[in-house]
Amino acid sequence: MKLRVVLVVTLLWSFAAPPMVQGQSSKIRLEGDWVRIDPDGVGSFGGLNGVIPPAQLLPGVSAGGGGGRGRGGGGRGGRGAPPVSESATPNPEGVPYIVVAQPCFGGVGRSNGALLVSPDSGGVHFVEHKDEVIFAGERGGVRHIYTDGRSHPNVWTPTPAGHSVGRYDGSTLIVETSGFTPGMVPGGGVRTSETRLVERFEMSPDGNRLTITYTWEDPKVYQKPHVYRYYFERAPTVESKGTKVSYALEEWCDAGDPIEKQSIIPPKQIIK
Amino acid sequence: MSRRLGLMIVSVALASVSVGAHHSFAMFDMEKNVEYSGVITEWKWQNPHVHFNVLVKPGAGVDQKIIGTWDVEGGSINIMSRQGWTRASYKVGDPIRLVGHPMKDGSKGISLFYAIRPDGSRLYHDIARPKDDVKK
Repeated sequence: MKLRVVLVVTLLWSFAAPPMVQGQSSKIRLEGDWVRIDPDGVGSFGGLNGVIPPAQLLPGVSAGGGGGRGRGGGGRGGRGAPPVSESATPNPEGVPYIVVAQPCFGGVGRSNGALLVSPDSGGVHFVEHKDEVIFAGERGGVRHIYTDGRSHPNVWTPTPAGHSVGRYDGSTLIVETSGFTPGMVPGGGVRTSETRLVERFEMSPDGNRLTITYTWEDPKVYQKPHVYRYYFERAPTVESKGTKVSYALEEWCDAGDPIEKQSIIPPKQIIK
Repeated sequence: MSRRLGLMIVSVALASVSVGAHHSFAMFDMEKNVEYSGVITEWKWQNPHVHFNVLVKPGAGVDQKIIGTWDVEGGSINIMSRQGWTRASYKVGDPIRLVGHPMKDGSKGISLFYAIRPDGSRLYHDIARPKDDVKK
């Protein structure tokens, strides 16, 4: 009887508990699907950038996009298209407002994981392997975070996602990245090939909330490290064939498609 | 050195501006939340942005400025699905109440913020929330 109770309790607990890493029974796993949340109530997607503390740049260093209270640059689309006009000038009648690249990401950043250095509202997915953590986005791109103890390579061609190595401190994954191509950083920051990023992927005790703390360091750019946080929750699941599953990683931006490339087109007015 | 670095950063910033934008949202007044009540006349559950048209008819208490047919732009199917939307959330002919950000130029386009269901609950289009509805 006692054994039966223990078995039942163990079985129930195994369903209720957050996922654990094999061989480390007390560790909550990062593995799985996550989606960003807005704990500040910013009121619109563009406002998410507005709550990032402004980067403290050295004199003579010009701010990147999305700084301070600004909106727009880090817009909700986050598809990484080449330059898009921020002008509010109305288009001529019948001309769609959308401006997209061909293809959307133009190879600029999507496939190389740049979007995962600053995730937007698209879902993200982690796979924890013994030698690396794979960080993938449903909007495309993969980052490889090596946890096998290796160092950064001596010879490295800079990329928008850089080269990442990581280690665990309990359940927290700490990732150090360098070797970026020059570009912008949220909060009006910038990065160069010498800039270093430290990310802390920290989960709540119940394993359902993830906080990523970003710390950008570069003594030639910043007066002090540029620090801000993004918040995530486990992505919701849906029932499929009796199993709860999350969403597929899906490519959904084809600027060559006449339907997908359209945006606001004021409809023909029946009532003026 | 710092001048050269500054110039380099400016040129990179200019070259990569809008790295995070599918298209500009400058045409929407994102600070303005306007409520619209109407009937759905077209429903396009599609990527990268869900679109639907809403007809707001004249009536008692209806602001003249919002009368007409509006193109409402949402997010991607995945993003809206995570907020509770489905392909069947609405169909042509359904009444709808929504809050959105109108076009700055006054043309009939809206960036969707959320729909208000008959029970008063909200269906948000994306992860952004108003101050009165946040998860700390």
